[in-house]
Amino acid sequence: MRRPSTDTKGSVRDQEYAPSMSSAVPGIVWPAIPDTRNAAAFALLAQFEMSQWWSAEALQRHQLHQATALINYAAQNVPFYRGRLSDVAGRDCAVTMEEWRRIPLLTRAEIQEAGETLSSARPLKAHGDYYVEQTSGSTGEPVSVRQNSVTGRLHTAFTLRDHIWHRRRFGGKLAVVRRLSDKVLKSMEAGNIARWAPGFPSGPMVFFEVTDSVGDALDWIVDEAPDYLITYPTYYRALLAESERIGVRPEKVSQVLTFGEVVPDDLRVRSEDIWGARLVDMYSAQEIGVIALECPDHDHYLVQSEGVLLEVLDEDGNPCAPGEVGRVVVTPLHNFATPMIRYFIGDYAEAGEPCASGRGLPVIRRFFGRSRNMLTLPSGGKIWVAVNDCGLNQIDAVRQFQIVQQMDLSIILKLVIDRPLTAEESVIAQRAMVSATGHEFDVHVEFVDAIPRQPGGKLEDVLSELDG
Amino acid sequence: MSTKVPAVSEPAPESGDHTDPIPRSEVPGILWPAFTGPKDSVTLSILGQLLVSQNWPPEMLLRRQLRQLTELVAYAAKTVPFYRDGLASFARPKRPLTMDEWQSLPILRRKDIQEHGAEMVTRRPMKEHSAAVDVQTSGSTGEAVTVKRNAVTGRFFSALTLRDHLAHRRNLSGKVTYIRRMSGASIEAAKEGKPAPWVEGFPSGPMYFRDVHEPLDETLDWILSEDPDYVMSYPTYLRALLRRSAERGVRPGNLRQVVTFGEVVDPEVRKECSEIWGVTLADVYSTQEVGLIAFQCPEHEHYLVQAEGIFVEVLDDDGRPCSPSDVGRVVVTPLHNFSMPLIRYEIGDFAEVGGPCHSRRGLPILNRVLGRSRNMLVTPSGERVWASLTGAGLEPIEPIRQFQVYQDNPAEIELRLVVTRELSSEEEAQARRAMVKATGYEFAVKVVYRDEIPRSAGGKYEDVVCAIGDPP
Repeated sequence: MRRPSTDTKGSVRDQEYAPSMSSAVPGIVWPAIPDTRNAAAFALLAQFEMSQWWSAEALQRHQLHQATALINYAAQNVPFYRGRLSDVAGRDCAVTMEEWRRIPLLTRAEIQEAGETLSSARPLKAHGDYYVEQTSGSTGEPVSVRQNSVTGRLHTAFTLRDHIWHRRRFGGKLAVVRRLSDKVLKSMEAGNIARWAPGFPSGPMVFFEVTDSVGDALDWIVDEAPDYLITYPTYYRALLAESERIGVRPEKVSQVLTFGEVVPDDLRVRSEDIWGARLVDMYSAQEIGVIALECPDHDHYLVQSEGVLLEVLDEDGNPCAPGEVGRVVVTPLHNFATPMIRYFIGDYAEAGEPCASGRGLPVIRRFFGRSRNMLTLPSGGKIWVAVNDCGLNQIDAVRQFQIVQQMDLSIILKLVIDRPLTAEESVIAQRAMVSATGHEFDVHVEFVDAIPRQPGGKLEDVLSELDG
Repeated sequence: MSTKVPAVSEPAPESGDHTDPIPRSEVPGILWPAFTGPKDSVTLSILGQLLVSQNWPPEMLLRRQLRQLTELVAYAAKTVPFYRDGLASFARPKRPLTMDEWQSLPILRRKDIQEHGAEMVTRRPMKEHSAAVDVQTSGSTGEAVTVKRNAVTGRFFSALTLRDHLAHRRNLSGKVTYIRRMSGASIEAAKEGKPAPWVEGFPSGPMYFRDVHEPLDETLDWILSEDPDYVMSYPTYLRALLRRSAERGVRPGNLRQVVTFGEVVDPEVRKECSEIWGVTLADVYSTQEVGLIAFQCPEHEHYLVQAEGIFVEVLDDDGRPCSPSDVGRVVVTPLHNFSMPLIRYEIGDFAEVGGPCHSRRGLPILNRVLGRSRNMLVTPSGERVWASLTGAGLEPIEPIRQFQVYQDNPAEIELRLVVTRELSSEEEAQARRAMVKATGYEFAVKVVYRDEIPRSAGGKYEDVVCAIGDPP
């Protein structure tokens, strides 16, 4: 990964940066007294402010402490884990790393298989009502897990940490180009102004539907003139290409925030060359939340150890040394609704040396595995595929899928199933492309035994032969 | 349906591997990072800001202080009769105050508060700041004043105190013995030996209290039997404890640090603390009427001004800011007291301005604080007793403007008073009762009227002066 060494505009990197929180008490502007809702996330940020400087060993000690509470709870209340954790659960002292590594890995297939038995039979009231997050992840293997207000509060805190680490000006405008939820659409229709930095005097956040055309998206971005843009790496690549083609670019954008896929090295360079904007990635997963953020001072990722216990494991299940590439195994430490203990997320990562900034958070040099292509329309335009909305997630017989566009623009929808589809499910599968893109394609459904990875370990849920 | 989460004991840190303490989590199953309750979350939110701002460059801190001061001054101009005329031009600011504008504001003296206290209270209290409570203090200069403080000032006090604990890496689950002047029901409560937590927002160890008027030997025995991690008291009282400890050849075994407050720390006391008890002394500079002003840097003997809570100026005789290593008058403005704004309040202490701190903090430095010295008195039998005039009962006596207790022979003490008129016989009786309360001993008291009570050599203002040397 190579990050351009300087911001060309809007940079506050070498200047004073000190965002002021919103104060809920009249007369008090600094230090702010936030309202109790925002204070919940700020209390976590205050702890992060300290824990980021702890040693790696100290961080791990506290992670195992928290992880022990999680496995003890899971062993008692989550049917899937009954028996599975008997070696380690039920003790009143924290498990050791050695004991932890004896817990079997959890695969996507197991999550699919486990269904509701992976969720707590006796949800904790104090963790708030749960909601279900459905995702195909990066590998086309749909899973659904529960989240709640505990995981939500952590997500808010990590997102704020990302903003602060990367010295964003909260008064600026943030443009979001992604798949828009019904909630967002309704709020836009109602004319509400969204804000992107909870607890700070935040500028507006504006939205654009990612399945609309790239040309329209670029026009919209130029028009909105945001300070920051957030979108998927693949989509950003298409925006940059369109920008280069028509010779128009948004002038003010100083950072482009990406998520959801791997960022190829050349995209960071193109971002700098074409838009003069720095690309800052966040490694997250819908079923987990935030996993790693880019270091504020270096070209690598820092694992968000306060929220997840991340392991990079070789083929024998041993931890990888710096420079080695291994499987990403992650345990969200606070999700008691659907505990995912030692979950192999399907991605690979290269472990790094300890961060020179002095932070004890583990370093990941780069991630591999989350990559996605865009499809080509008969008009020649590019289109984003909202895989999570394609409907295949709802068919429990579907274990994995892949969307492949052939040279003639037709689509092969590859499905790995564990029983034949019902008539109703077949209709959903046939309509999957319309649901995910809003366009009619010529679709052939193909049932396969397995979907192999691409060379280099990538497993792509959307693959286009037109992209070579 | 809900269920219980089994407890897991906290893993012990390896030696030398520092982690900060974990706040008190209120959500079952969540141990770290803690999910704190609403009140603790607000305190931690403030603490989180302090942990960042302490590393800011001085100019940035100053800019934020001026922004907050602008709010305070505008509010005072609009709602506080005492300031209405003088600050009228700042009532509706279009931009933050400049330093020049700030320095043009008049200095507030103790006498002003004594004479105009009632007019200094806001006429439009804000419900978000909660109800104001009275705090009475003689300060260090024997001039009694009453000020109002509220929940907001309390919240900042908590967060700043937490920063002090974290900076000094105190073990928050440790035991504290706290020896101070107590009154009324709190003396009885202390005798029952019931502890209270000493840290807000974190799982706290117990704090045991003891009245400073209890006999010295008994208090020393009490400390030895409690075997605390921390002892908190006044420097002069600590010195008496240390010397007695040395004479008896005893010392508390588990002690990690001594925390002092309320008076000037003599360098000799620091030395004795390290020699006799084998621990460091960390001083806190605070007053009852303005809260925390500065605490001792964990790496140095100098003081870190708590710039996020209070604006501190050190001024020379002409009212100009002193340069590093100059000594001048301490003038403070608590940034968040909107119940009774104290704007550029000359607190009566002197301090020496410091240069930049070599640790990474950008907070202003005071090399030392002068003027809060207090001596112990000697009874006719030769016993040393502690005297504290604050709240003893002199303040409510209407004509008294300033007071000092002076002793040069064990047979009696002299109560020196600056008054607007002589005391009535009833008031004088009241003053004598106050002396018994202040010292815990029935001294013979001689009341003497003075035009003024000057500073002692070195610029100290002392409300208790004992001219009898230490017994050989």
